[in-house]
Amino acid sequence: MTRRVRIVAALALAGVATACARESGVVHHRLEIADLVFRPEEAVVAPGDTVTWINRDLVPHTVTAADESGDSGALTGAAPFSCVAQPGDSVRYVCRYHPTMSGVLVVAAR
Amino acid sequence: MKIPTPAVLGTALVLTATPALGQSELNDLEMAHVAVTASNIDIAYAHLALAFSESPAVREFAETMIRDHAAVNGEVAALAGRLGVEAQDNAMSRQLAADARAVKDEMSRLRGADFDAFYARNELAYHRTVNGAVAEAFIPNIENAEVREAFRQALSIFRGHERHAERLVEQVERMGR
Ligand SMILES: [Cu+2]
Repeated sequence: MTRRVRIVAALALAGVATACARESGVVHHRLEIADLVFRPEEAVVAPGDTVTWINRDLVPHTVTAADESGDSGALTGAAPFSCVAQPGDSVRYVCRYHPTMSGVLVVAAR
Repeated sequence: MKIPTPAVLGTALVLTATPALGQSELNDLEMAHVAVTASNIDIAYAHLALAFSESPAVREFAETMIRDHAAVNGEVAALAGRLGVEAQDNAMSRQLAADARAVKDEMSRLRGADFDAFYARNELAYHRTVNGAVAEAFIPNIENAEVREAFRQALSIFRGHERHAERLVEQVERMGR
């Protein structure tokens, strides 16, 4: 486990491989970070889905809960960050390095 | 509060007035050298901010400038290595460095809110000027497609810094009031 393994607000982190194998009907969401923007800026996922952020920029970013309840640590192109969505409210998140960046993850049952 | 600005405006004007900017007579390797020089200048400004500023917003901005400009310079070095070339020193790089020395001298004499206001405004003016040059004079004239793509990616990051600097100027002005 790396230092990225922390909680991001309503998202509880788990080994992605485990999470993928655990349930059927799980959707894997791939979100990108490019040109200092979270893409898409709002994503709707269901509890149990996996969410992965891939950084396409030359510079590091973070995925950090706006209420500071969780933080991915520095994300580079080489190392994506993954979580398993837990039931809960929407999570607004930002990049600690670039405060103009923000995104929302809405966790809602399908 | 006295907010010093002349050198900031001076830098922007000198940069805009640099003949090579408009004429784009630089080759790819000279443009790469200008980009690396511009990044190193911003890193030097950021180190002054870490030495003199007590504002968390200013310090966080400075840390991001160091982190990002170092990453961009690393990418330029890696690309040059892959292409088997080296960035070439040129008159515009030397002009930028000379202008920056004057700005650093002025900045080094300031402390507290005066320093923060000067640093934030200079960052905004500096990124605006450099981004304008990269977008209008550099990218359309770069011959190598890989170099052009590297500049395009770097510009998207520097435009983010420009938005961040706009916010920082608002923050320090609010604090200075
Ligand atoms: Cu970021």
